Amino acid sequence: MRWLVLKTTGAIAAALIGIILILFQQNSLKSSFQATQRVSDSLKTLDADYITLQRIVLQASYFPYFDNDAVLNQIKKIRQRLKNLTENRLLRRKDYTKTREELLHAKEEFEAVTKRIHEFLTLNASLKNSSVYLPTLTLKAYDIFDMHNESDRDTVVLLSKINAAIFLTKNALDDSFLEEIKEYKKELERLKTEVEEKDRKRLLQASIGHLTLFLKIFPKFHDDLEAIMKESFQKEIESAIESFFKESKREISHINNLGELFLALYLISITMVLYFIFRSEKENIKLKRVSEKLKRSLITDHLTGLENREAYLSMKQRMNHPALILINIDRFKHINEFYGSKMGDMVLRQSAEILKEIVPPYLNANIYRLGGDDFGILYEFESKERTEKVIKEIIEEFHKRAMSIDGVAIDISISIGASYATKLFETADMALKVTKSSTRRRYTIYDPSIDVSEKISKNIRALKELKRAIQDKDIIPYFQPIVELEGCTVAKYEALARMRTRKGEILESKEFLDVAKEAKLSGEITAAILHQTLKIASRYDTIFSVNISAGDIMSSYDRKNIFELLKSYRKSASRIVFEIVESEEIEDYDLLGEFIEEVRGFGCKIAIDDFGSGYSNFEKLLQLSVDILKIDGTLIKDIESSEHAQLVVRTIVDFAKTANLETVAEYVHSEGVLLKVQELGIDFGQGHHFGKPLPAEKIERGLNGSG
Amino acid sequence: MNIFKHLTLLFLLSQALLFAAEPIKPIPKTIEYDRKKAELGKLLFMDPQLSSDKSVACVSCHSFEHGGADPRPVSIGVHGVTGNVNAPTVYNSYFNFRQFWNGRAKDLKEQASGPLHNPIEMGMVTKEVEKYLRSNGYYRKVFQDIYKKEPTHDDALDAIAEFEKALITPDCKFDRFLRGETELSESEKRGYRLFKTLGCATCHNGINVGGNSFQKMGLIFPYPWKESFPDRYHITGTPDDKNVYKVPTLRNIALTAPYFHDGSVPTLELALQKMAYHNLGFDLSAEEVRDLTSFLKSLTGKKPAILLEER
Repeated sequence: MRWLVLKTTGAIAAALIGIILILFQQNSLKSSFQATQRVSDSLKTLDADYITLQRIVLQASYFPYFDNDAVLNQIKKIRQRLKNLTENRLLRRKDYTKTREELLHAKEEFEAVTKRIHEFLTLNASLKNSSVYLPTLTLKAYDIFDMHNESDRDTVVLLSKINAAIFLTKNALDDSFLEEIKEYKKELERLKTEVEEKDRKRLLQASIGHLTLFLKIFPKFHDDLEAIMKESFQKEIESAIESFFKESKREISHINNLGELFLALYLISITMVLYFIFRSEKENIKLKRVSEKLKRSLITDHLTGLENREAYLSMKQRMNHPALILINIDRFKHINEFYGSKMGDMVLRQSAEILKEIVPPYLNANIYRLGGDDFGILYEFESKERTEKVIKEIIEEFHKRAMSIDGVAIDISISIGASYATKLFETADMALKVTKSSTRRRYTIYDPSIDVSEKISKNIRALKELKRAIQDKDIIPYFQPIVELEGCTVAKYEALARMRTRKGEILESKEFLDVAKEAKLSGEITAAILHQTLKIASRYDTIFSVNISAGDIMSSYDRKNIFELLKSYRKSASRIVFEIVESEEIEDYDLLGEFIEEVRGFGCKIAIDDFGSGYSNFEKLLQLSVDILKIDGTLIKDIESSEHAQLVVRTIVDFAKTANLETVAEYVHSEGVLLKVQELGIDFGQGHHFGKPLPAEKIERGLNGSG
Repeated sequence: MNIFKHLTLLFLLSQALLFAAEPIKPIPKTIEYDRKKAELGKLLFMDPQLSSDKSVACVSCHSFEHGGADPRPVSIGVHGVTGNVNAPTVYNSYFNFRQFWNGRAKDLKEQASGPLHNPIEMGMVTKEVEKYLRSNGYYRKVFQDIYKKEPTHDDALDAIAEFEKALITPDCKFDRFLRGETELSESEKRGYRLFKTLGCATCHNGINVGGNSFQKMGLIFPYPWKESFPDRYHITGTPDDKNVYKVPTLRNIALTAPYFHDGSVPTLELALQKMAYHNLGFDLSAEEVRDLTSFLKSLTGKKPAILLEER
């Protein structure tokens, strides 16, 4: 703020200085020009005025009578002009010393001329007086002298000649007639001595007086007139004009030099202001950059370079109808634990890069990192179809790009939840959770049905479906082979419950068992599987194991059902192994013992499923009369790498051998695991390495009929 | 035989053609002046306290009843001392090219200082003038009003000059004739014609019918000279300047008797004859004197307005 004021003040000040300087220069040029013009005009007028004065003087000399005021007024005029000029401010300056000096000379000269003019006026009046009065005298002479008398006539003729000579002398200003006039005067003086009459004598006397006067003053008069007509004053004025032009030229060049100096100063000040403006502007830009960086960093995720949740929130505010695609990296926690967090970070970074590449540009979307392994794509909603299309494209493209980190190829899959509902993030997250909870779903677009409240109705629908499946005998067993590890031959099969939906989809037990247990329908499922297995077992001489839960065994109704079935298929009942699952839930071991005794009566064998898992009560279990221990899958799965698992399994196997029990390894998914379990001396193996669970028809083809 | 006469007449006529313009100009009906200063000047002009013995004022010798001039042949100053000169008229003096008989003052203000300090006229010194003016409450007030300071000698002269500027006598019969407002009588007309043809107009011309050049008294027949005459000789020291005076104005000449610098001639008629004799070398006929006198009387104008108005 302070800078801005300073800057503005500086700029305005510079501009003002510039304007003032320019105005000052312009003004001094103008005023100098005007003053110069005035003086030069005045000087020229002075010259003209003097010529006028000369003309007036000539008129005064020529006309018999004349208004002398005209001469005096003109003198006054010139004197005033000279006074003004010598007092002129411009001319009083040192620059015009010479002009002023010459003007003062001119003034002196003019005073001298003025003196001459006054003298001229006096003499002029006298001469005119005579030249006017002589003819008057001549006229009088006609009356006084006798024109018939010859000598009288000669006198008048002489007077007339004198008139003519005077006229010529005065008007032609010619001295050469003076001698002639002198002669006439002598003649007149001679004549005067001859006349007797008083009148005649007076007239001649007066005429002589006038002639004497004329002869006396004419040369002086002539002198004065010549002096007045001489150009000495004009020459003074002319040289003053010349000096003035020289000196004013010099002065104007001074002003111009001054102007150039001002211009230079002005340019310097402007440059300085520009420099300051530039510098502070530069600082401003720097500051702006830093603040932008800071702002960006506040809304940027440093790891991926994507914008963060803050940016997402502010962007969402500004949108009309936002839609969010929430992307989660599957098993990211596992990646972090397995490869280390450094690798995890790189996965996140690459995922961000991939997302940036594959989000279609037409969407005009922004990509955010919204949480640990959650990415968000925010865009204006258009239609559900489009959203779906985009999601599919993303999944497909993401899948196509194999992620490779430090040369290690990592298979990354993603789950997506999308929403365009009001509570955008929450609903998208809910949708994501739905995707996550399903093994098959890759994406979910939120709609109110996946809301928690809707989950109940979903459960109800699932229960209905389950009941229908039980009713319609759509609970069917799939069979997975159990292999004798020594010879690698299929020794028996485990029946696993599956549900066939109305659409013909086959669901694994984990998808309906919870519902079944909740609805106390688990026993029905066990019964259904047992029933169908018994049927198959009746046709083949092969052992089939069937899962039975502690809960089923505890239920008298279910127990009764099982016993009825075994009774019905007495022949094949001896080919059944009951695998007791969820043994940790057993509460009444006596009742379990009774059940085991009862089924043994039918020739059935007993297996403990998931043996070795956390909560198994070894002691109690081993007091029961069991035949087979199915070692917990989690132990087998890690058997290759886990010392602990090996130790536990080895102990179990040793114990089983001592107690003469068979052992089964579940989750044998690879050759390595197979070798390991063989080495540990486990009797049987089960898992994808040997075969997946298959429907009855498929395994029946490989079985020999038993009749 | 009259051929010469005719020729001479023709010659005169040809000369007459050259001066179609009248040599005399009328004075303006009014003149611009500073009213306040002029009123103060009027007061000072008539204040005898401004003389050393408190007996003489400007007006003592420039009588408003006698055409602004002194009816006595020569003026009488303080302590009854007689001067050497007849005071010229103060009327229309503003139009004179210089002041005093010999033109030694360039303007009225300079002139006013003369008699004030002349020991035989008013006999004052600057300090006394100022002392008097400052002692007078009224003067103090008026000077303060006009000049924004206490009275000074210089400002007093300035006020007097301003008053004298106002002393013009407009609308004389001849001026009205020049302006085409009236006709001259036959005698006046003849007089004016004589005025021009006799050569009077060569000196007596312009707005003031004189007062615009110096001329010698006695061009043809010398006028007796006295050392005490206030002529140009007193200034230039040139013998030719003896009896050379500023040509006096002829306005109100009928009122300003006696005539000439020495006040030696009591009547206009006699003055005309004397001028004709000394400067033309000839006598005027009785008829010529009568006509010239008629013409000169037509130069008498109205009394200055500032003297008629009551303050």
